[in-house]
Amino acid sequence: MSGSLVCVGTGMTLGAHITPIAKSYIDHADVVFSLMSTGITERWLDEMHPNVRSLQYCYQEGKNRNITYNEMVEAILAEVRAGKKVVAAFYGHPGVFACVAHRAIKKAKAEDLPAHMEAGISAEDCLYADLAIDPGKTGCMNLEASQFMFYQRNIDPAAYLVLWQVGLAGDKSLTKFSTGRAYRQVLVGLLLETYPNDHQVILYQAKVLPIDTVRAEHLSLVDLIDAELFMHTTLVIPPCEKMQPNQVILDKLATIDKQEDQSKHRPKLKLVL
Amino acid sequence: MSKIMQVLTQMGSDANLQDEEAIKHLLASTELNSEMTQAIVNKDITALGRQLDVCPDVVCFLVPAEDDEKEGESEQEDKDNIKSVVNL
Repeated sequence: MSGSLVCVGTGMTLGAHITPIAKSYIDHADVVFSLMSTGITERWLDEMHPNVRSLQYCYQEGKNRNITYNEMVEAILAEVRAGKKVVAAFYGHPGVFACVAHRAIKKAKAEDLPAHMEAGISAEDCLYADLAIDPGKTGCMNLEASQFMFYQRNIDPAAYLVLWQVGLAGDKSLTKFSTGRAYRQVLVGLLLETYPNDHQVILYQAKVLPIDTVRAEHLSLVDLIDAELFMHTTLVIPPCEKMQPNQVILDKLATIDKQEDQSKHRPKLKLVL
Repeated sequence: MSKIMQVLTQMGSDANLQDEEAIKHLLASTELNSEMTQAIVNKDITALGRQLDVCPDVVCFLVPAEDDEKEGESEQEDKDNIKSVVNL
């Protein structure tokens, strides 16, 4: 019998976000692999199914996280190849700032094994609700914090910038679980090329348990250097400029509007034989 | 599912359990031990974790800053994927 893989998200808040389809896949699985964000949510998932296996054992400080993620993929794929109905359950959305589900599905498909992903409620979704941000208003750019530092990226100061995994910003080795003040100073220096010193930024942490509180701490950009950051802290940077009209494009559009308007009001021609 | 997980799930999913009074009422009618009840009332996650004897150090990083995929490899695959979508 052919095995299969479904990657699901359990959402951010225990009990509040798991979708009916994710729950149903978990209920009907032979094996469930779990990657939760706290010990309590891990226990919650353990109690949902008699065969839940945590992938936490793959993490190890000092070990390159790409190796960790590939080990997780292999553990999942081994059971799919053995003909099992496998569900890999991740906190949040299985495919948003989460590479294991994408890698596992890609590998399964390359081996002609059925695999797909079901969407979940991500930390990003919670962020928009908790901080009352509509990404459609000015736009919003989401980047992994270290990636933002390693590559030359064009920031739009008129849009939101959200930096994920800011607690380990600057870790080139991919082996650390946190980085310190010196790394953060470099990050702040980079951000100061675009934003003013006293620009108000937000440290955000979504609610994981129903008894949790949302962290929405406002502080000046320079104070980020000494702020308390955790693995799950996200940095939200509101726009510091207004959107500037693109006059060249606006003029081109006005010309088209005018042409369309003129053609509408042109007298209708009759064919006279 | 254990009583405590049932309570937490209910608190997360029931619109009528989103205020402190309703939660106290729920806890009064649930047979949780007093330490767990107190942890919930005090919103003390550390105490609740201790009561449940769960691992306090869970890692939740899920994306590398740099993928270990070889340069060009992923680009070619992306092109192939786009082609197959277009062919649909």
